[in-house]
Order: sequence, then structure tokens, then C-alpha cells
Amino acid sequence: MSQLKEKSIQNRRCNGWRKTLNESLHEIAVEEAVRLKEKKLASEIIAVSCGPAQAQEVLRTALAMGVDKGIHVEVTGPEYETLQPIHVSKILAKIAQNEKADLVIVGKQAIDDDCNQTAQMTAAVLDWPQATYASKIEKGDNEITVTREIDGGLETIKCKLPAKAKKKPIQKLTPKDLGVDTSPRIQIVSVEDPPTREAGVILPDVDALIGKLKEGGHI
Amino acid sequence: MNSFKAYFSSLIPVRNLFWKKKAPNFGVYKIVDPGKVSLRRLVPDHIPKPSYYRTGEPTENVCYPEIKNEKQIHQMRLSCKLAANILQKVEKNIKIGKTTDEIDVEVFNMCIASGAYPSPLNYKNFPKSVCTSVNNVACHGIPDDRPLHDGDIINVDITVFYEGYHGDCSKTFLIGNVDNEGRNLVKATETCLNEAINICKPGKKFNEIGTCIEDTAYKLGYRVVPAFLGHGIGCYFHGPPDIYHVTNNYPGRMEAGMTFTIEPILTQGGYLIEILEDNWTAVTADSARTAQFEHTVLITDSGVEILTLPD
Repeated sequence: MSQLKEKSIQNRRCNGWRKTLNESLHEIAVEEAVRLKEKKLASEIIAVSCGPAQAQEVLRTALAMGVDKGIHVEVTGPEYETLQPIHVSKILAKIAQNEKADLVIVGKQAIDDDCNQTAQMTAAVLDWPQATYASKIEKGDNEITVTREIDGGLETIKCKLPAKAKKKPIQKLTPKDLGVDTSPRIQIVSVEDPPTREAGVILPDVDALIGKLKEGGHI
Repeated sequence: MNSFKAYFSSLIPVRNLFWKKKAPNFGVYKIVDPGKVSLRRLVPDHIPKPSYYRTGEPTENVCYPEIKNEKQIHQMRLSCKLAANILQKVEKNIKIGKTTDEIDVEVFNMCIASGAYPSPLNYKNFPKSVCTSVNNVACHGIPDDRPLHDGDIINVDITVFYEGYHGDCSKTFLIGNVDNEGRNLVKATETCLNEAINICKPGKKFNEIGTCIEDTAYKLGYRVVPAFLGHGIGCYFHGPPDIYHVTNNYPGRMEAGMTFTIEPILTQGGYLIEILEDNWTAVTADSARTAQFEHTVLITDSGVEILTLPD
């Protein structure tokens, strides 16, 4: 009997309806991008895939789904084994800059390491606004409205867009071409439990709050 | 024009993210839906039971891959051989028209007759003694009243608990006239398993098995279902190491005395699977066929030994 790894891609069928458990899918990212293009809000969609030769397959299918151009960043062997989200985010940032992209949509988590860091790091490297855990994207003039899934429900935020656009099949690059150093960055030193939180204080009114903040030197 | 360029990426490490393509050539076969499951069978008192027998939840807590001593290895040989022999008898008796429930009865009776407990029974509340997965069922199929049709491919996954140790193996059988796509899929899966076993030896990293299987499958034109893993096995049914069948970075190396299973599932279509409302049956999201083969192996001083070989 095989052991089921919960974190990987799977759906659970509830009452006959498919309910997506884990959005490690770029599939969702692709669908969203194609939808934006259909609504004429996006002029060009570029798919990027990092990895060994097999990573090209996803690009071919993405092209079939309506993506305009694919970029395969070839990373193989030992370099691939030590590839971390920080390297990927730098690769993505560089490509985004080269291609003069306005919006980067990233799937949430990968099958095995579940890091959920790449999107945030890419945004940091580019110094772009970011909206994570997006479930819906709508575009206005020079800004987009993103509906985010957070603990406790949905949050809607608006982000300003940076710049503008242009168009072709699969281009192959290596991390060196993009000037990204892929030497291993992480060494696991120790694993500890988080420190216990101190209890909070409930204050009666705004004046008391201001007083407390002044006391603590926060204002 | 108020448009902008949307740009998406796939996350690293990227596995074979094969999407739900409009399947050109999955071949000719029946798509399987779950049928009616019969009542749970009762195990006689004299059969030694595993830890999860009453509650469904195993109580063992194994933190590291176990290095077994001579006695434990001897016990593993016994239980694995029994599992392989039962699987061989199932292979001899399987035919068109037989229901998967009838296969379950056979396996159950053969286990009891040998003094063994059929491990899947009540493991995390699995209702039957064997997993029977036909065509688009990837694994953990529950035996029911569906008869086998001409052209089906069926994986029968047997695990026995004999004298305190589990032995686990499975094979995919061809029923009647199976089309070429089906035959190739089954052959490719067995090849992947054999290739993976051949690279096993002391000092080898566990995660190399995944790379080997995924590369072999890719060359033969198939995808590996990443959701299901092989596992360490002994007095416990599932334990470390986790044996991924796709490229991964699970840590650790093989050492002499370790026993674990390798059980790749290959699919013609995409790698997405769905778990049905019975909370067990795993089917491919695009209804493509899958095949699986499994062995329990022992790492020896010089290499590897397959324990689940019949007499």
C-alpha cells in the first residue's frame, strides 16, 4: 500500500464537486493569465520554467493553453539539487526585467518543499508591490485589484502597476546568462520551536493606547 | 491600449508538470467508477493482529530508517515471501468476469490460512484486505462488485502481517485483450521499478530512486504520479525513509539492513489525482490509465536483494 503525501497535488471530490486542496498549481496561475489575456487586459503571456530538460514539457503545454512565449532556464544535476527559492526568485526577477514585464503570477507551492517563498522574494528583488495567496485578479487603470485568501476570509487590495509591453516560442537560458549565482545558500544550523508569545493587554480607550505607546517609546 | 504583459512562472523545483492535455491517445478502456463494497470480514482470534487493528491508527513511532539485525531480516524474508506467493496465486486465478471483491475474499482466506493478517484491513480504516486498482484508479482501489472487463489493467497490492512483520508487493495484470497503449504502460512501469532497484546499494541517496524512475518514465513517454511514496517497512506498515518516485531532495542514504518499498505509479496522462468521497480511492483527474509495480527490498552489504519474490 503506497504512502500518500498530503502536500502534493491532489483534489478531493466532495459531493461530486472538485475541491482544490492545495494550490501548488501553476495551472491556476496559467489559467488566470490566459483569462487576463482573453479579457484583453494582458497583451503577452510568458511562461518560465526552471529545471532539467523535462521542465520544457510544462512550457509546451502552457503554449498550447494560450501562452505566447516560453523561457526554459536550464538547471541540471547537482546545481538543480541545491536550487533554492532565493535563486529562483533572482532568476525570475532578471527575466521580468529583461522582458519588461508588468505582472508576475506565481503558483503557491511546489510539490516537495512547499516553501511558498518565491513570489515574495521575487517581488522584493524587483522592488515591486506584491499580493500573495491571490484568488482573483482584476485590472483597473494603472492598478490591479487582488482578492486574497487569508486566515479568516478574503482580503481585497489594490496594487500599482509598473510599466509596459511586446512578443515568440521557447527560449533557453542558463542561470549564468542571467548573471545569477546558484551556489547553495542555505545550511541548516538548528531547528527550534518559536518563542512563546507574551500575553497582550486590553486598554479601555484611545487615550490609554496613546499613553502606552508613548511609554514604550513607540511614538 | 490599456493592456499590460502578464507573466507567470512555475515554481522550482519543477517536476514533470504535465497538464490536463486533451488526451490524444489514451487507448481503449473502461473508465472505472466505485461500486458497492461488501461487509467487512472478521479475522479469527488466533491470528496475531497489528497495532492499528482496533482503532485504525498505528501506534508505532519510527523516527529513522531502521537497520535490521539478522533475526529481523529473517522475519522480513518470511513475510515478504508469503506476500509474493499470495500475489502469484492471485495472478493464476485472475480472469475476465471476476469481481474485485472475489479477489479480496481469496486474499483474505489465503492470509488466514497461512496464519497471517491482511495488513490493509482497517489500516486507517481501509475496509478491505487488498487494494485493487483498475485502469484510471491510480491506487488504493477498494474491492467491490465490479467485474473485470476484457481489456482492463488491474493492480493488486498485497501486504501481509506475518509473525509481527509486514511484507508488501504489487503487480499490474493484463486482463484479456489489452490494447497496445495499456501494454506499453504496464511494461514501462515494471521497467522503471527494475531500474530503480538496480541502483540501490549501501551509501546511495534515497532521493536518487526518484530521479531514476522519473527519468526512465520520461524517456518512455510517461509521467510519474508524485503523490504516492514508497516507505520503510518492518514491524510497522509505513515508516521512514520516504521513497519519492520523482526527483526530490529527501535526505539520507541507504545502509545495509534497511528494508523499504519502491512502488512507482506511471500514468499516460497528467499527474493530478483526485481522492474520492470514500477517502481512499485515488483516481487520475483526466481518467488516464495508471500502472504500478512494487517490491520490498533489503539493502545488503554489497547491494540490494528483492524480498518479495515467490517460491
